[in-house]
Amino acid sequence: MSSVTLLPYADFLGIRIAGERNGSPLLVMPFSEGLLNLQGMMHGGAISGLLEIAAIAAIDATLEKARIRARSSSRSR
Amino acid sequence: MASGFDPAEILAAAKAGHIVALGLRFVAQGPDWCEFAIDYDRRLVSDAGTGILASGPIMSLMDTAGGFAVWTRRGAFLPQATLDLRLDYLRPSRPGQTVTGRVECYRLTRRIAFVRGVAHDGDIAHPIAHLTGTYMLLGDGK
Repeated sequence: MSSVTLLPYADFLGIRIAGERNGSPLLVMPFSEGLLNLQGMMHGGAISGLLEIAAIAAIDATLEKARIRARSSSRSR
Repeated sequence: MASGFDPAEILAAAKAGHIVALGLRFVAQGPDWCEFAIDYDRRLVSDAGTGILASGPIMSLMDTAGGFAVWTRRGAFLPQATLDLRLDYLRPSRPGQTVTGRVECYRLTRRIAFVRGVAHDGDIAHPIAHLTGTYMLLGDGK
């Protein structure tokens, strides 16, 4: 599993991993007042933050799968 | 100062929300620009090992400074929405340093405002990131 839960900024935004979709981690950022802008809408920066964390999680998951594949192929040889 | 819009007054009225949670501070204002800052905070780090701030808080800083630059140029706190925001990162911010964002609204049309800006951590000649963006104006702009 990805190390997203260990990222302080992900925790600050309240992001959690809700499973997996199409091979990538699915992240959820539940509503909270601390995510709103001055006009009462979701702050664009918070959405950018969620996407950044989702990108990190997707890269982590891909690298982890590659590591597992490399280990199993070296064992089968 | 040409603008009738006072960022300090708007911020003082905000008791919650993302700007308050991040601890964004208003620094300075000109006729068509605004400067905000975010102090270093370990909660906003994307990698506990390096202590480097995530890019999200810097995006929030720049989106906020851009929005305030547009309100400054419009001269009032009118409805608007970020349409497009591009941040080119040149280097990571230094752990422990305050990050400052200065954004200028360089063109205002009937429906769209155009902004550009720089984020730095002490020396504007040595930027962290460059910003370009557009905002959709939803109220009655001048």
